[in-house]
Amino acid sequence: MEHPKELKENEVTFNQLVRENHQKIYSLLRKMVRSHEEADDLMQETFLKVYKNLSKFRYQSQPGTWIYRIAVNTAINYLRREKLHQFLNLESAYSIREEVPNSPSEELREILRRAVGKLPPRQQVTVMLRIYQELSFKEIAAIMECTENAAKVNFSHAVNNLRILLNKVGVNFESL
Amino acid sequence: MNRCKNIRELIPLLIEDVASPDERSLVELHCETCESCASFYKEALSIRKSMIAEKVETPDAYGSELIVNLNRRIDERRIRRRIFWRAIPAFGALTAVVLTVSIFMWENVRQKNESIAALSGNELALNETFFAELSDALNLSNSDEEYEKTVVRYILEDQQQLPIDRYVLASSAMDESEFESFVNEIKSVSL
Repeated sequence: MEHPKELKENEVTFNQLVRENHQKIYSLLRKMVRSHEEADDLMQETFLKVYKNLSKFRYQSQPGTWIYRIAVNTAINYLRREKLHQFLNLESAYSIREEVPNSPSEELREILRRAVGKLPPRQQVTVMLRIYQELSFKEIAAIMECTENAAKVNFSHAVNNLRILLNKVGVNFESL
Repeated sequence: MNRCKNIRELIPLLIEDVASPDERSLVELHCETCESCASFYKEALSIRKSMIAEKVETPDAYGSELIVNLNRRIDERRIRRRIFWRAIPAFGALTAVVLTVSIFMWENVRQKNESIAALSGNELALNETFFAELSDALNLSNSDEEYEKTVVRYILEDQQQLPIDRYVLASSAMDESEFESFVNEIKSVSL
């Protein structure tokens, strides 16, 4: 049972951590799911885990990296559940082309978004962390709990797979 | 072909500007002669450019909303935990009461079963006339061949608040007047 003073200190630290990190975590999670509501659910799940484990955090890594790691693991678990759900619903890779907006540029962006969503979860997260969050491979490795080299290989595979997926649906790369 | 595979693993790193100078010159040299890898490079670059163009903005006031929601959920969880810890002694006391009552009831049934088992054939073979009167008094049908047993069962099962064993045992040795008062006693309690 936590002491009231400790509890109060934890709450102050926690609110501070949410304020400092929510934007970058939101932009990562929002890219990985279809709606703001899903991203918000993942945000709450992530930060509740942060709160629960705050007293165990020993500041051996940056709090931001630690929160990223929790968010990434939460997102990977969510994406795996979602992929299983899609698999059970027999959605194929070709659904990338279905029901896309009419405007050509928006259509291409939507196709690209869906193609990223088709990547294996760890590749997807690596692409997000590198391209959208602009993190170094060293930081990505710390978050993904792997070597820097493994993070680079994961990224290369992700780009290769994206290219294959986009080729399959006949995307003209000149127009991207 | 294997060389192309290796080069294609390096291309995304070149685009990210994290390839070493050696890796860079290796890729550049290879792409000068390999059209397929050169087009891979262009495509990977297009993908990167399109992705970077898409930035997500956090909705206004989302941070404050998030803090409010998180603190509400944390408070709810704390209350649930407090209720849980407080419920444990109450649950323990309730379990103890249920256990005591069950043991008491079980013991009661056990004693009753023992006393029924102890009744000998003679003690149960009651006077037929007395039983006919008893079954009339209790509105039981005596057309049943086993009506004696029905009466005994009635006494034993349904009139458990009476000191049954005593009645049943005593009735086998009763004369008529004694049985009359026995029936009256039963009537006064049960009807």
